[in-house]
Amino acid sequence: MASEGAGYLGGGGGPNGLSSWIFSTDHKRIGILYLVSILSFFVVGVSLGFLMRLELISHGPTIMEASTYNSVFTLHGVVMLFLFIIPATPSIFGNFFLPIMIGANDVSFPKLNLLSWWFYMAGAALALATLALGPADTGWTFYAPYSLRTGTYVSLAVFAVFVLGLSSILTGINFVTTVHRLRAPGMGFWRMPLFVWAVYATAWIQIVATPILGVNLLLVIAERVFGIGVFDPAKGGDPILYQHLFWIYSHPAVYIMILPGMGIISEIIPVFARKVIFGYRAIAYSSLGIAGVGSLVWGHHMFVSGSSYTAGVIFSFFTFLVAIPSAIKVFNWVGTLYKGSIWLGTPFFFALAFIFLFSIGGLTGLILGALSVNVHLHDTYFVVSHFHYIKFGGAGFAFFAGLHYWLPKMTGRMYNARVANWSCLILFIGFNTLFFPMLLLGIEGMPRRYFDYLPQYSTLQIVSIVGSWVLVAGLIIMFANLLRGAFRGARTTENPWGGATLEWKIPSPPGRENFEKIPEVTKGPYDFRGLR
Amino acid sequence: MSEGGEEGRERTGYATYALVWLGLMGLTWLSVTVAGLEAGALKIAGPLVIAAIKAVFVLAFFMHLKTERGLIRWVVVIGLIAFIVSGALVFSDVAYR
Repeated sequence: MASEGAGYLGGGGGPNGLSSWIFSTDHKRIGILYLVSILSFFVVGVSLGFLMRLELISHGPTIMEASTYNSVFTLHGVVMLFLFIIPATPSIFGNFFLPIMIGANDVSFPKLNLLSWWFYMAGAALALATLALGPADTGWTFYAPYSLRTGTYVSLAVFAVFVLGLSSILTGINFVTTVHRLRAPGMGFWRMPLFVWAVYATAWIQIVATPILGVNLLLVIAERVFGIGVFDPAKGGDPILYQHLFWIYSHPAVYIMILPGMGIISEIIPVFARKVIFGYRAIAYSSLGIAGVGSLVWGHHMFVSGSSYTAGVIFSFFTFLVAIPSAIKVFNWVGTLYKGSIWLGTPFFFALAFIFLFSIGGLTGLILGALSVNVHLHDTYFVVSHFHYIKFGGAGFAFFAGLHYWLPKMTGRMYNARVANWSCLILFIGFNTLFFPMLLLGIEGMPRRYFDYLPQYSTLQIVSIVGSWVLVAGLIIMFANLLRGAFRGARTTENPWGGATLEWKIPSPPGRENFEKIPEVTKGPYDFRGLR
Repeated sequence: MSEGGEEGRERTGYATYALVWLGLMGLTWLSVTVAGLEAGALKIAGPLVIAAIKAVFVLAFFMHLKTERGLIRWVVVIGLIAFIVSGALVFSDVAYR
């Protein structure tokens, strides 16, 4: 059943002008605002990454100078992390689906929700302004003391990240409050869909960890502008303290990226296996476990920075420990598939790709978490490959899975499944061709962030560059198909996948009000009895 | 809670706010004075203790924790635990470097 007119999307005499969108406090419209803006910045990030790879196709300057290369990889990191992958799943799907999945008509603070989006846009505008003025050349980590001394627009880039952090905190506060205060009657914590659990755990990280990054970034600005000596060793400061404060946020930020993605996978797997999810409580607890233990592992980024050996041992231990809740999830997803009546739909293919790629990312993370091995692999392509397997292969593919799973609900229209399946395959091949050679390059000693390389690395570099072309081709096909589906696809039904959570019980697209009457929840989120 | 019509909760009067503010100003003066003394380790420990006392005042009165209940208080406890654990881990580096 489709909703009358186009539901919350407008039409049928409802307001649909630009101002009705950018000043809307409807969580669904804000989700769409995030969708459009985040994907626009994703295109920018992909283009920068594509150009970086292309530059390395031959030795010496090919399409840019070394200083430009430094700026491009900095901006690629800032855009991809702070404008795309950190906010993508919580801000788009969290905004759109969290209230619906718990049986609420909106989030607790709708105006604050809109303000979050405006802060996000302001931060994005500031970050992209550096592109015109002269991008920072520090890398996305802004490490001191170089970030304190370089003549590029570091203060502006840092302030942009500060504003984006503010947006993230407000979103986190909204989600935690919403989960605690607006659950429908009967929707106890143990009846919440696992996506909600994941976003809830993520929101706590956003609230607790992001302010530390904010303070750290303000100190960088204060040091650059007023010359105070917090991080600069020449003024009595401690540059390693900068790294502590940076990674106290930025490692948990990896879980801000991946946890909601894991939530998406936990929704898709049982629906396409037509089975109650295996180990519901274990998955829910593991989300909290990842959020908690994941906040104690940041020092593994600093094994060779001059931090103490004692700290290294402690952080190495916690790094191994955090693998356990992550492995619980993977085990339970695979356990759910066992003896399931599996339906091979596009979201399921993306979910399988996620499990494979995330597993590689996780296992290479354990290699990097070992103190002695880390000394050899630190700051090599191995690290670059590892975090792309986590952030793109993991969080990115989970986001794509979510797009294919929920876009029909958001737009009321279905994409071409055959093209979508092909795009998934092309993306999978492109991704592995691009990033797997980087693991080998790293083991052979190729350092990251270098504008040039020794001839012995040429073959693997070329393979990796060809992979970037295949990956971009896959992205173009996927987004073209999704866009066409969103605007011209066939009308879809209320529940095209046979899901049991509340979003599949309302029209596609949803109406302006999610529920005419707040539902009473009487069963768990993965009880498929009576459905397809 | 001083607004929103929450029942059963005590309102904080403006006089209390003014008094707390004056107390904070006094503590700031004390902090600056202690930092200027030739007092060795006390020069650092003193202002840190004073800053902690000031934080308690701000949390209790201006952020209304004195009258808040349940989850709101837990949020502060979670923040405090995160602060202590993070601090301890940073010191595992600084103390043994």
